[in-house]
Amino acid sequence: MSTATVESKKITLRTADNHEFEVDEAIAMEFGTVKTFFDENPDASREPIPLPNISSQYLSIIIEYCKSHLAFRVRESSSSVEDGAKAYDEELIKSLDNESLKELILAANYLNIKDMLDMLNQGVADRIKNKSVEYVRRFFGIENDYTPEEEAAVRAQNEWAFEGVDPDDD
Amino acid sequence: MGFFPDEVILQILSRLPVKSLFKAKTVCKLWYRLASDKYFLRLYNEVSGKNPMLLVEISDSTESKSRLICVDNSRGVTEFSLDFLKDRVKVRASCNGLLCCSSIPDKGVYYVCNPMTREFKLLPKSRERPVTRFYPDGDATLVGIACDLSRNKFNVVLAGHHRTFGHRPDGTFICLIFDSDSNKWRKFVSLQEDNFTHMNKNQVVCVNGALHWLTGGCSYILALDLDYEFWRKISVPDEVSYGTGNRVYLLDYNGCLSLIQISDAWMKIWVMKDYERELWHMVDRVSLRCIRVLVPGIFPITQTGEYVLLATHKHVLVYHRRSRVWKEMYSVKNSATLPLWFSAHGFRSTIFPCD
Repeated sequence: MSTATVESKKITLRTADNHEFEVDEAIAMEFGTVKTFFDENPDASREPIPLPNISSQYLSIIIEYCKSHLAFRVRESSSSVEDGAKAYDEELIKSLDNESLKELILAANYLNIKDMLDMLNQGVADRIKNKSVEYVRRFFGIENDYTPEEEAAVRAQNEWAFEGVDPDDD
Repeated sequence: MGFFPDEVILQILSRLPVKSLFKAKTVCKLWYRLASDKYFLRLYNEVSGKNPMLLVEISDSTESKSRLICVDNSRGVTEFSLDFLKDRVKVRASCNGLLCCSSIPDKGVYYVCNPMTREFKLLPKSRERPVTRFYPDGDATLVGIACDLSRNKFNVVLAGHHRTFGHRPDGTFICLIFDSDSNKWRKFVSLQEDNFTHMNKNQVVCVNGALHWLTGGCSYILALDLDYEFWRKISVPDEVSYGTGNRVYLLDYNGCLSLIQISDAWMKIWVMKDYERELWHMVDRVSLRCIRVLVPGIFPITQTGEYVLLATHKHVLVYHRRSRVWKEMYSVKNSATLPLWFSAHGFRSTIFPCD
């Protein structure tokens, strides 16, 4: 495969903890917020783009994700490519503890990266689907605002749904 | 505000299986509100609509009872139970997450249920005076269910020739339509002379507020307009009706009518994207070379833009269109008395209410 002779344009991103990441334009355009920024300010590419809500730890994971998936997309679709992309996503989710998974979702939401966000949201859904209600509250940092009577009433609407819960592992 | 904005919570909730969603309603009052919201119901059904599922009855020659299983891409093979109906039933039609089932011991008794939420409704009997029966075997020839997600209602259709007790059949075609809004049956009569194969009857498709059945010999598609109560004929593409030695099946394709044509070497997928002008387009032509051995006994059951799920005597297969790959998803271990395709229905998991 011949390499392009024209140098691809680079864009610099600056994180909340003041790290600068230089990425190919194609990667940066995977971020919905960055793409919108450039669509509205076509001459603004000299300055580093500030991302005050994202820390370098998570931006580097996001950049790796976008690079890998862009590479998968460029290759002709086949069973091995599909399986490869799926395996990458599964490995990524497995490697993230609950805190990192949550932070990545906030970052992907802020940057408006739909595919990554859908994949991460599915990851959370899979992680909590068989867990107890208490576990889910702890996971999301939610206070129970039901009275015991109210909670019992809602639960009684679909009592069968509460059978077969996995033990908490937090 | 919690850790996540509401839109993220909605996206996560929409990816939970129905059972987990019901648990999630007890997490806090905000989640109860979010999960009951109309917008959320549509989002949930949209997300789950992308996952095509296939329901099939496994009958064992050694057991007298049969079981249902559900085969899909994300969960694989799972047991599927309609025990909450407290009756032995046969699945007759499926639409947007609702099933219409007929009672096996009690002829003429029908249920509409959502197997994911376990809600069900026993339909009132469609009694007639003077007493008539569907002909020839007391069972409706055509059974269909139509779910209107936007108007939150459903219709069940029973149609066939009737025979007044003590009289010979006179060719009149009776159509009984149940309306969930009025909770009543209404009836209209027409003159039809169509015949339907087993697969034609099983593969009723609901699009644009009408139910559709392919007729035997694949001459045309019979469409029933539910609002205005009339039957009409929709033509199939010339290549499909004139092709010899082809087997043709009617399926849904993301809310459009679709015909899948199977010959020795090819599977062709046709879609009617323009319903108003009845225009067909062939969206894919799939080589059947690598499953050549299975071709005579393979039946397409349900599809999305990405996948086609098919059933044979003993297997359920999925074809992934983008990567052009066939995968076996299930195979029967024991010697089944009935082929899988015989009882196979397409299904989607939704939270569409039915009571």
